Formats: sequence, C-alpha cells, structure tokens
Amino acid sequence: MAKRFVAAAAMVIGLACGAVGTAWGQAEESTPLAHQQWSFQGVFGTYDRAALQRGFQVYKEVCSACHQLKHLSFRDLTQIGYTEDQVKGIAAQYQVTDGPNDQGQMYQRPARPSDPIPGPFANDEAARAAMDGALPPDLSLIVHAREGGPDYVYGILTGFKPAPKGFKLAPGTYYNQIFPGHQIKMPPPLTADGQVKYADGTPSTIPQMAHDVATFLAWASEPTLEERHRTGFRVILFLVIAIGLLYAAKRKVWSGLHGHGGEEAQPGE
Amino acid sequence: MAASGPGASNSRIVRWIDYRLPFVKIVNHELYEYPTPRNLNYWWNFGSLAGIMLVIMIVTGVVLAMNYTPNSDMAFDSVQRIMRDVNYGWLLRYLHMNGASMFFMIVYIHIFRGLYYGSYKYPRELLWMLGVIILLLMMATAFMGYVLPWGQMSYWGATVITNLFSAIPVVGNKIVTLLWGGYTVGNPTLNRFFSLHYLLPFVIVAVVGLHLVALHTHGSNNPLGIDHKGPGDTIPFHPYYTVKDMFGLAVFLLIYAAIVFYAPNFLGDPQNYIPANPLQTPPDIVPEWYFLPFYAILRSMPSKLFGVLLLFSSILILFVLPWLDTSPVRSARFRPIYRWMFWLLVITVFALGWVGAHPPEGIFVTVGRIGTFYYFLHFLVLMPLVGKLERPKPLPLSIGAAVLGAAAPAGRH
Amino acid sequence: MAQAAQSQITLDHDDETRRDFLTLTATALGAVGIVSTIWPFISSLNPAQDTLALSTTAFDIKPIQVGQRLTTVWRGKPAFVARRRAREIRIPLGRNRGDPRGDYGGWFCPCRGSMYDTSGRCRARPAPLNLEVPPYKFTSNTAIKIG
Repeated sequence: MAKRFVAAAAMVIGLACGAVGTAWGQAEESTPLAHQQWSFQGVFGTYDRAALQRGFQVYKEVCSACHQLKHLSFRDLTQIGYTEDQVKGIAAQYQVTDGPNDQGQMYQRPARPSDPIPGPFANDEAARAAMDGALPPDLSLIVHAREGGPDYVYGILTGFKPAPKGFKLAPGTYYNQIFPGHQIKMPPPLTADGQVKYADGTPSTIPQMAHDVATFLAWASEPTLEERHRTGFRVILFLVIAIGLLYAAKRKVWSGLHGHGGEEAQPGE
Repeated sequence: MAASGPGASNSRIVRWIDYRLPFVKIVNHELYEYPTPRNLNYWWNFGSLAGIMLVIMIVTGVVLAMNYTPNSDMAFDSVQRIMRDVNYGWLLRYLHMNGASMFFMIVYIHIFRGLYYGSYKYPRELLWMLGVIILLLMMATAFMGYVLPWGQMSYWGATVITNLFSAIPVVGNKIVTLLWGGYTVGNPTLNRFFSLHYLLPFVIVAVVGLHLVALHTHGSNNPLGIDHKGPGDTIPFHPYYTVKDMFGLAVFLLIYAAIVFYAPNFLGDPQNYIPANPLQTPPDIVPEWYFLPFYAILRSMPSKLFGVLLLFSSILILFVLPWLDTSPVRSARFRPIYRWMFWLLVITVFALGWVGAHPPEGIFVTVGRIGTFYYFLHFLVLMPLVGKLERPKPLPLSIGAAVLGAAAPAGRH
Repeated sequence: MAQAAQSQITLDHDDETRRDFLTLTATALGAVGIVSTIWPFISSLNPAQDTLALSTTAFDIKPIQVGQRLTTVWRGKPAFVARRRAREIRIPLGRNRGDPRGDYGGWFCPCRGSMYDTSGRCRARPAPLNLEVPPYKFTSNTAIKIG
C-alpha cells in the first residue's frame, strides 16, 4: 500500500500541472488553444439545430468507425430537429444484439429509437485489438472531459500538421499541435474538404466539419443546456426582484430603531 | 402592533397543543422574541445560511439517491441517466454538486467571523467545539460524496486519501484494507461510502441541533464582543433578523443560481467526466477546492507520516483554540495586533489553497512550507503570546451605548 | 407582548400601509418561489425519458394463429395478445370446467382464484377489476402498437 501511494505521489510530482478551474491543462510546449465562436456559449447561448444535424452526419460518417456515443439513444436525436419517423429510419440502419430468445440464443435485430446508439466495437478489448492497443475514447462526454471543451475538440481536429524538424515522432503516432505531448494515436479523421457531403448543401471544408462535429459533441455532452439557460434566466430575474423587495422590507423594518434611523448597518466593521 | 409571532394564547388549538407539547411556546421564545444583540452585522447571516444549505443538500441528495446506483459498474452511467433522462435531473445534480461548494464557502466565512470576533471565547467554547465537529463531519461527507460519481478523480482521490492511513505505524495497512473492503478502492468501497454519505448528514443535523442549543444558552456574540447587559442592548429576533436573514438569503441564492445555471462545472474538474480507470492515473490528482489548503499542508513535508499528522493537527488544533487565545478581549475591533495576525492567516489560507492546486514542485513547495509554518505559528505561538502582550483599545460601556451614543462608536475604523 | 417595548417602533398610517404592502408582496413572491422550487423535485419522480421511451411497444401479429395466444412484455408486465375464435368473441357463459384457462375460457389467476373470460372480464371473484386492456392501435394489417 505504501509503495502504491509513493508511486501515485511520484506521478503527481512528475507530470504536467493542472489547476482546478483554470485553463492551464496543456503542457508548457503546447500551442495555446484558440477560442472559437460557438452558438451555445454565453448566457443566452442555444444550439444551432442545422449545425447539430451536420455534426451528427460527420459523426456518423467519419467518427463512428472508431468512437462510441454510449450515453445517447436514438430518441435523443429528436432534440436536434429530426422527426420521430426520421429517427426510426436512422435507428433501423443499425443492428443491435438482443435476447436471449426462447431458444436461449442472442440475436441481431434492427435498432429502435429507445435503444442506445451502438458503438463500432463489442467492448474495449475488441477496440484495442483493432486499434493497435489504443482505445478510442467514448465521445458522449468528451466536451466536458477536456480542458477547453469544444475549443479543444476543434483544435485537435484541425491541429494535425507535419512534425517540425527534429521532433521525434514515436511509430504509430501522428503529430498534433493541440494534443498534450503532441503525439496522438488517432490518424487525422478529417482529411479533405468535401469528405462528407452535407444533406443541407453547406460546403464541407475541414474547419466547417470540425466546427459542426464539435457543436454536435457539445450537445451530446449536455443536451439540457438550453433548458438550463432558460430556467436560469427566470430564476435570476425572480431573485433580483426578490432582493429589491426584501431590501426595502429590511430597511423599513429597521428604520424605526433608535440609533439606526436613516443609517444603514454596514457589512464588516 | 405586536411584533411577536403566532399570538401566544389566543387560539384554542394552540393552547391545546402547547399544554401537551410546548412547541408553539418554544418557537415563540427561541425564534420570535429571542433577544439578539442589536448591532449584528452581515457577517452574522452566515450561520442561518449554513443551516439552509444543509437542508438543500439533504433534499437534493435524497431525490438524487432515488436514481443513483452505488455499484462500480453502473454508478457513472446512473449519474448520466440523471443528467439526461430524469426530469430536472440535471438541475438536481448541479444543485447538489455546487451546493457542496457553497456550503463550504459559507461555513469557512462563518468560521473566520468567529475567529475575528472571538466568538469561540468564554462562555462559547463548547459552541465552537461543536462547530469544529460539524466541520469534520462535513469534510468526511463531502469526501465520500465526491467518490460516488465514480469518475477518474473520484477513484484516484479516494485512493490517495485512503492510502494516507497506511502511514500509521504497525496497523496502517490493515486499517486501509478494512476501509477499502478489499485490496484497492473498488465496489465494496463505493457501496459503503454511499451508505455513510447518506447517514452522516443526519448526524450533522443532530450536532447542529446541539450547536443551536449551546448558542441559545448565552445568546449570540456581537461585533463589539461585549456581553449584552440589558434590554437596551438587544432587539427581538423577529422581525429584525428574520427579514435581514431573508434578504441575505436572497443575495446568496443569486450567487448560487448564477453558478448552477451558468457555470455549473467551473469549480469542478473535467477529469471526473471520464469513468474511473484503475489502470490509468490522471496526470494531476487534485481534490475539490475546499480541501486544497489542507492538501497543501499534507504535501508540505517530505515525510508521509509527518504530512498526515500535520493534516489532522491543522483541524484538531481548532478544538483547543479557546484555550490557546489568552486575550481577555473578544473582538478584533479592539485588538490592533491580533487584527494583523488575522488577515495574515486569511492570506495564508488562500496561498495554501493556491499551492494545493499545483504539483508539489518549485515555488509551490516553498510557499507551501511557509504557509504551513505560519498556520501553526499563528495558533500555537502567536495567539497565546499576543493575547498576553497586546494592549487592547478601550471597550465601550455597553452595546446600547455604542450604538445609540456617539455617531462613530468607539473603535470603529 | 412586552418585548415590543424594547424596540420603540412608532408607525403612522402610511408606514403601516407600506409595510403591509411589502409584507404582502414579499409573502406572495415567497409563495411563488417555494412552489416553483418544489415542482422540479416532484417532477423528477415522474417516469424519466428512458422509461417513457419504453412505454410503447410494436408487435407483429401475423404469426398468431386463430385460437393462439402470445405473451409479450409491456411496461414491465406481461401483455397477452390472443387471436380469438369466433365463438370466443361471443362470450361463453361458463360451460367449460377444469381448464387451465379457467371456467370461462380466458385466464386464471392462482393468487386468489380469480377467473377471467376471453375478453378479459373478471367472471369469478375475488379480483375487483377486469384485466387491463392497454391502449392499442393497428399500424397496419399485420402489426399493432401497444401503449
């Protein structure tokens, strides 16, 4: 037990700094993360439905080859603008394992809207076997799970560059400006403009696809953001009114007191 | 116009109940008529705020527990189900998770108020000690609660802190195995942490009850630190402090709402959105912000055992504070030297928090050691000495005289 | 009570009205606040989105022969889909005996011996209610949606 603690402590001592709540998560040598414009940022932010659908298309056609989205079900896609029938159609394109049936066998059937979106691999071990030992992380929470959130995802996708002279790239890795340590095992997923033909006709440049899929993944990490912002607005409005009212009540109640007439008791000394 | 609450003996129902269980009479005496010093400032709001936060944490916690599964295979997913599928689940979770931070912020301010105004001194020593017990229970509850989502930081934070007990000579490792219920943090650990996390808040409620009884025995302290001597010094709690507490509550709720609705993950660590992986240690293992100063003290010494002893001492030292402080004067308003020490302590605690957030290397080690040194110096050496050597400013005759008399009461800066 | 004397509040009529207005408004606001706060907690007890998603199930009825009955699961409980013979649609009045289907050709509940006919009506006590018929819709000639 003592050895384990020493090992853990040594790892803490030996590695890059990370401060709670600050954007200091990158190693010193990283390119600073550029801040993008997101429709959902800020107090009144909302998700751009068109971008979400384009982003889902990018996920489906590019990322889903390796990455799962296990915390999303097909029915959740109605929130990004698809109708129930469209969602049924999307679901039906996938096969899921169900059972056991009356013979005791597991069997395949087309997915239903209530099913979670299936991933490309049966389990983590299968993924590692197919990916040379590397495990493509599940993307349901990736925007919450990384410092920089959507900026990080965008940065990674657009950050694949040729390694600078003298940089020793380990075999099986690719140089990425944003990834801590610069050596990422994922090959660049977005390789050419027009890689995905958008259903709504938007030209699909690499920055556009990166931006759309980052928006989609931000939504996947937190589908309830818009409800949160809406409710927050009402709550804060209510509280501001309540504060005004209660302050007036407080002044009124205390005004009758000798020695406090007209003079407000100050906070602090 | 009577300022008291439910009219004492007017209603027949009230009289019927009160004759058998003097509930109305007690509430009337302890909440409505209750004589309170007339000069309390806003730093006195934090006690009632803490009580309200306790209620909020229990209510949100109980409802969350209806949807949470304390099994290591399902815990993380059950939290995601709460965030995505349970009606208003996202709200309940964000309220609970940020409520913990708010609770600690309020309690730390409440404690520092006590340190400044000498609220721990005679005859309120037990009141103070009960408060320290509440703080310890809160820390245990919060530590276990953070493990429940079973993210990377949940798992590894639990591993680091439970491993501390292995520093105990001879029986250390056996104790750790007992705590874990296994040979590593795992499902047995999670299950028992959930059970205790549900239990301890109710223990806190009981200790808060004692805390309030102790408070009401001699009444509240006040910014001047002098006892109230007569009716001219006090006013009834209702309506003066009920309305002031409600105003303070509204202001607090605004801050709480701003965090919950617009920055709910600001105080948290992104690593905890990654499911726990015993095979992968995160690059930086950091506790929640309210533990950072203690974390800094823990890591200030190269010896593990010494660090653990310092950590526990830093809180246990608070128990004996009433006897460490030798000054006959309560409030720092009249203690010019102690006032400097107090602010130095505040700065130290912030600095230690900053140190705790970073890996123990370079300047962080230096500042951490200086901070730890000053922390213990402050309590063990300075407080006894300064109490004896300092010349306090003259105290006003009474609260009433200070408030109703000269426009600028004695000692006001 | 005597304590009112400690704080020598003297209110004239205007003060009283203003204070009453403040009290009234603050109380009203407080009530709104409390109700709005309680609502999310109660709402969270209602079925969650994933439970609601499973509240309907589609069923292919083509394979069911006349006189045959299949069991599927709907909302966590068994749902019986039976293709009735013509004579079963005209409700029997208690001719058959000793059937596992009970005396009325429908269902038999071993808990307390209740018997139901082919339309799910309770024919023999002690059960107080008929078998629940879930809302259903024919989505095509060979498929139904239950729930």
